[in-house]
Amino acid sequence: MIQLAPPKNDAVLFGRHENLVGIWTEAADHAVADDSKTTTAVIMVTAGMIHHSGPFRLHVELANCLRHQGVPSLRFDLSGIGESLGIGASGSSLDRAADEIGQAIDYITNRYGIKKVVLFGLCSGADDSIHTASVDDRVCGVVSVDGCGYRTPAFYWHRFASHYLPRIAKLSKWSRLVSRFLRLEDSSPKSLQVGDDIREFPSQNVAESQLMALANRSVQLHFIYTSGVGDYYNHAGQFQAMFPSLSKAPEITHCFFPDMDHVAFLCEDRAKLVRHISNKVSEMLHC
Amino acid sequence: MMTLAETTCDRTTVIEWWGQQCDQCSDQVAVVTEDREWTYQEIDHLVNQFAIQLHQLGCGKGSHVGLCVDRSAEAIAAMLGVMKIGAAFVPLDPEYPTDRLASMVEDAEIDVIIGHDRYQAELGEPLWDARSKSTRSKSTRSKNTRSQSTCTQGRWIPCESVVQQATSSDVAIANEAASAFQHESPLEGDLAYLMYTSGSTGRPKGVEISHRALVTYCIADIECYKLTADDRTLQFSTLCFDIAIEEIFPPLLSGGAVVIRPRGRADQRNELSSLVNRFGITAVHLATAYWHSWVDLMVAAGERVPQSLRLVIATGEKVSVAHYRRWQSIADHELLWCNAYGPTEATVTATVYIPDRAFNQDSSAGNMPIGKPLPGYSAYILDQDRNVLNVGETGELCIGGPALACGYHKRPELTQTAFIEVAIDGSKQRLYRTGDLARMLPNGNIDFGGRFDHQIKLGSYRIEPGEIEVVIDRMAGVKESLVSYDEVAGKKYLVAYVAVGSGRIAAETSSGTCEPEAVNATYLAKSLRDTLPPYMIPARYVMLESFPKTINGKIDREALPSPSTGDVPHDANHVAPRDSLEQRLADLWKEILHLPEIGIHDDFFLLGGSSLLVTQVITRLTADLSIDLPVRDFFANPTIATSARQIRKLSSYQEKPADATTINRELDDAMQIRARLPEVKPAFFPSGDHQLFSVHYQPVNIPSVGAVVFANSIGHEYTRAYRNLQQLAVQLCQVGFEVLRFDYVGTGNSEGDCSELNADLMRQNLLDAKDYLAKQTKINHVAVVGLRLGATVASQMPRETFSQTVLWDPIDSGKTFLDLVDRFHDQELRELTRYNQIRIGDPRIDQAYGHRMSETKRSSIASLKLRHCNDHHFVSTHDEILWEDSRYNEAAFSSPESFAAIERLLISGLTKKETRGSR
Repeated sequence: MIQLAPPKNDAVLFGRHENLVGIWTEAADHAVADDSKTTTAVIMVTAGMIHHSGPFRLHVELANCLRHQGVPSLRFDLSGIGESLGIGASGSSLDRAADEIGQAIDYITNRYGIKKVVLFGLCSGADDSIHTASVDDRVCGVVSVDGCGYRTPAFYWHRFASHYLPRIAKLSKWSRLVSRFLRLEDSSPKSLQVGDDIREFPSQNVAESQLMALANRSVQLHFIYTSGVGDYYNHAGQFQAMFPSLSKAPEITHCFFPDMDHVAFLCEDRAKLVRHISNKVSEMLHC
Repeated sequence: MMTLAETTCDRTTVIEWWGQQCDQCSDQVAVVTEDREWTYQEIDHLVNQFAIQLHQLGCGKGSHVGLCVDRSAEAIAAMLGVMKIGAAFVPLDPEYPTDRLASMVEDAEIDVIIGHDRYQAELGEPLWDARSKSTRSKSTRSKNTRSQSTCTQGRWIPCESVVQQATSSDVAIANEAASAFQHESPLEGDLAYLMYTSGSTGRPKGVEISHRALVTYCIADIECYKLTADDRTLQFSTLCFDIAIEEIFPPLLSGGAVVIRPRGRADQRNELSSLVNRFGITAVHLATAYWHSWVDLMVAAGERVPQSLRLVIATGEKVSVAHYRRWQSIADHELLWCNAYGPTEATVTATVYIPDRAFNQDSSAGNMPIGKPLPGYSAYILDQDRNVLNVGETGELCIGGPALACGYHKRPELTQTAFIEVAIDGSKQRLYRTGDLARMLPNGNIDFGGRFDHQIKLGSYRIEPGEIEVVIDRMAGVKESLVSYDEVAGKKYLVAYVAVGSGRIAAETSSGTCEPEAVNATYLAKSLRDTLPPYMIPARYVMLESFPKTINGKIDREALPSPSTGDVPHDANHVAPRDSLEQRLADLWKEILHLPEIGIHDDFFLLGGSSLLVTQVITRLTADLSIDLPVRDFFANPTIATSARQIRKLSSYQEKPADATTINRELDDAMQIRARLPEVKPAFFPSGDHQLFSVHYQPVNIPSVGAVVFANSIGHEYTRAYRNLQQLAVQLCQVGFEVLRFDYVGTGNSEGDCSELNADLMRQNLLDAKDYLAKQTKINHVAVVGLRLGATVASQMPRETFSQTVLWDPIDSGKTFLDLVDRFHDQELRELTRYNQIRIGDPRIDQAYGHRMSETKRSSIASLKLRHCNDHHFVSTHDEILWEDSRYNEAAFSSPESFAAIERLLISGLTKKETRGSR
C-alpha cells in the first residue's frame, strides 16, 4: 500500500464545449527539485470505458505517487465516458481521443504552465496515447499498459502452455464450454466486455514505423504487458519478436508481468504497477 | 444629459424628431445595407417618395398601411413615410400563414400595403379577397364607414419601384410635393404603428402605439443606453417583432447609423460576430435565446466578444446567469450589457437591469433581476385587490407611464381588462397588467417570477394558448382542447391536449366518399400551420377521449397525463433524416426506444436510451446493416446525425478530409447536443479531514425546482453505477432538479485511504454533501436518492435530514454486501478467467474485489442495516441490473423505468412539500 500525504487536487472542467471533466493533481512542494519537472506533467488517458479514477482507483494511486516524485498529473474522461458528456465529437476513436487529449494539453498549458506531457494509457488508453504522440509534438513520453500486440510464432506455444494447459484439468471450464455449446448459459453481451471492440490496432508494419518515428523524434516509450491480454501477448520476448527493428532504439523499453491481470485487480499488483510506472516516468524526465 | 421633461416638450412625434435629425446630420450615414450606405438626406428623400405615393392613393390620418417587407432601407423609409402622412404602419410578416395575415388586414382595415414585388403575387390577391369580403359584409350590415377610409381598395405599393423613382427624381421637387400634405402631420396622440400579438380568443390582437408612447420610449432608450451619433446599431430582428422598433428608431433619432442584416443564409458559422466585425457595429439588441446561443458559439469556438461592440442588450426572456458568466469570461473590453424587459403594450422595453459590480462578483447569484423602470416609465407590484405590495412580496407586475399603448385595436373589453386605473399615493395612474409575477427587491430592482395566467412565454413570443385552442377546436373530430407547455433540456415547447371522443374524423377520399381517419398529431399540426405562425404550432399532442374535470366542471390540469406520453408530429421542430443511412438509424432507434418519431438531433440518452439499449443498437447495426460501430463511438456520438457521420467516417469509401462546411456542421451538431445538456460543475468539498470529489449538475434555462443528492454504492458497485447515476442526473436536470453526485472518503476520486472508510464516515460524507448542495443552490430542502449500500446508508439518516428519501435497490444489511463482494473476489482468484494460475492474494492485505479492506471497515459496514419506516411507498420496475452477476462491468447497467419512477417520486415529493407549505 502506498501511504502518502493527501494530494492537492483541482476538479477541472474544460474543452471546447465545456464537457470534459478531470482532476489536476499538483506536484508536492517538497518534491519539486528542478524546473524541468514542473513544466512536464503526466496525462492519464481513459482506459476503455472506465471512469477517470481508473480501474480500482489505479489513476488516483498513480497521481498520488507521481505527486510525491514531483510530477503533476491530469486524469480526465474522454467525451461520453465517466463524467464527460458526449456531445457528438466525430472522427475515428483514435482521432477523437487525440483531439480531446490535445484540448487537455491546451488546458494545462494555459492554466498551469505545462510545456510537455507524458501520456499514460491502459488498454485503449495505450492505443490513444501512441496515436496522440504521433500527431502532437508536445508529447515527450508514453507509458503504455497492454497496448497493441501481434501474435508471433512463439506466441502459440506460450498460449498452449500458459493458457490452455492449466485449464484442461479444470472441471468448471469444461462444464462452461459444454453449456455454451448447448447454449444453456446466457453469454454476457460481447460489446460490454472490457477491451474488445474499443481497440483499434494499426497493422504490425504501420505500428512498427509509427514507433520508430516517435523514437526518432526522441519520444520516450515504455511498454508494459500483462497476462490479461494473453490472447495477443503472452511472453517476455514477444515485443522484440513483433518489432525486431526497434530493439536498438534506446528510447523504447518494454516489460512483461506474467502474473498480473489486465487491470491490476489485486492491491499488491496495483501497488507494483504504480511504482513501476512512476519510476519509468521519472527516468523519462531525466533523460 | 437630455431629460424627459425637456424632450417631451419639443418632440411630440417621431416624424417631427426625424425631420430635426435630418436637418442636423443630412450627410451622415443613416442606414447601411450590404451593397451601399444611405445618408439621412437620401433616406428622407425615400420617405417623401413613399409619403407622396400614399397620399396620392388617398391615405392619411387614421389610415393603417400594411408593411409586407423584409429588413431593408426601404422598410425603414416606408415606416417613416407612413408616419409622415399621419397614418400608422402595420407590420405584416411575409412568413406568416396567409390566413393570419388576412385576419390582420381585415382587423386593421388595411387598404394599402407597401411590399416587395416578390410577395405581391403570393399574398396580394388572398389578402385583398379577405379584405373585400369583410368590407362587403360590413357594408350590408351598416352604412357607417370609416370616415378616413378614402383610399382605393387593395393597392400594393412595390418598394422597388419607389426606390427607383427616388433615385431618378429630383430631391427639391419631391420635397415640395411632400410639403403638400404637411397638414396631415400626426399629433402626439395619433397612432404610430399597430403591432399584432397573440390573442386569447383565437385571433391576434393589435396593440395600438401612439407617437407619444413611441417618443417617450425613444427618449428613455437613448438615455439609458447612452446612444450617440457614433453608434452603428445592427437591425437583426424581423420587423413584426418590437425589437425592430428598438433597433431602428432610437439609433436614427440620435444621429447614429442602422446596419441592416443581409438577407439570405449566412455562410459563416458565427454570423453575428462576423457581421459585427465586418460593419464595425457598436450596438446589438438580441432575443435572449439568440444571445445564449451566440455566447455558446463563441465559447465553443474559442472566440472573444468583438471589440467594436459597446452595447449589448438581451431581451425577451429570462437570462441564464451561467451564460452571463461565460460572457464575462470572453469579453475583453468594457461594454454596456443590459437585460431588458418589456411587453409590446409598453412600447418595447419597460425595465432594464445593468449588472453592477456586486452582481458581477457574486458567483452565487442564481437569478438575474429585470431591473428598474426606464425614465418616463413606472412599475408597481400589485396584489389581487390592486394594492401596491411591499418590498419582497410577490404579485403582478404592472407598468405605467406615457409609453403605454392606447389599447387593443377594436377590442374595448380586452383593453379595459389589461389597462387599468389604480389610485397610487393619492393620484390615479393608468397601468398595464403584464400578467407576470414579480417582486420588488430592496435595491429597487424587480425580480421576475414567471407567468401569472396561462399565457406562455416561448422564446421572445408571448402566446395566448386560447388562440391555438380556438383553432384546434374548430377542426373536425375535435371535441375540446387545451394548450400548455413543457420543458426538456431547458427548452420550452408547446403541448396540445386534444379530446377527440371516438377519435375519428371524416376525410374525403378521391372518390368523394367519406372514410374515417384518426385525428393524429401530424394532421393537427398540418392544419394549424394553415392558420398560425410556426412558433405557435405545438410540438407534441396528447390525445384523450375526454378531459378530466374538477368538481366545478373545469379541466383538471393536475390530472392530465404527462406531455411525454403525447405524439410528435412528423414535421414540427423536427429535423427528419436527410439520407438513407440516417433513415435506417432512425428506424432502428424508434424500434428500440419505442418512440413514434425521432429527429436527427435528438439525444439517445435523453430519449430514454440506456447502456443496455446501446448494446441492442450496436448488435442490430452489426446484424442487420453490417455496420460495425464501436461502443465508445456511440457514447461520443449520441444522436442520429453524429452517429451517421461517424459511421461514414469509419467506412473506407469516405476518407477524404473534411471541408470547412463539414467542420462547421459538425461543430453546430455538437453545440446543439451540448445546449440540451446540463451545466456541469466538478469540485471538491470538505468533509471532516478530507476533500470529497463531487459533480454538481445544474438545469439550464429553467428554474430549479428542487435539489437531490445521490448516495452511490461502494467498491465494485460504485464502478457499475456511476454512469447510470450520471444519466439519471442529466434526466433530473431536464425537469429542473439540481443534482450532486459525490464520492465517499477513499472511493472514486475522493481523498483518503480506501481501507479507512466506514459507516460513520459514509453518513458524515452524505450529510456534508447535502449541506454543500444546499449552500450551492440555496435550496434547503434536499432529497436523497440512495443506491444499494448508499440506499442503506441514506435510510439511516435522521428523518429531518432530507426532504425525501428514495431508496433504489437497497441492501438489507451491510453483511450481505460484504458476502457478495468477497464471493466475487474469490471467484476472480480461482476461476482462471482473470489469471492463468490460481492466485492467492497477499495474506497481509485485507481486500475484497479490488478494494482494500480493514477489520474496522468490515465490522462497520457489516453493522449497516436498512431502516424501515411506516411512511414508505414501493415501486417495482422491469429494469434488469443483475447485481449478483459478476460478469457485468460498469457499462451493463440499464434502468430507464427506474429513472422514470425516481423522477415521478421526486416530483410528487415536491408537490407534497408545497401542499404542506400552503397549509
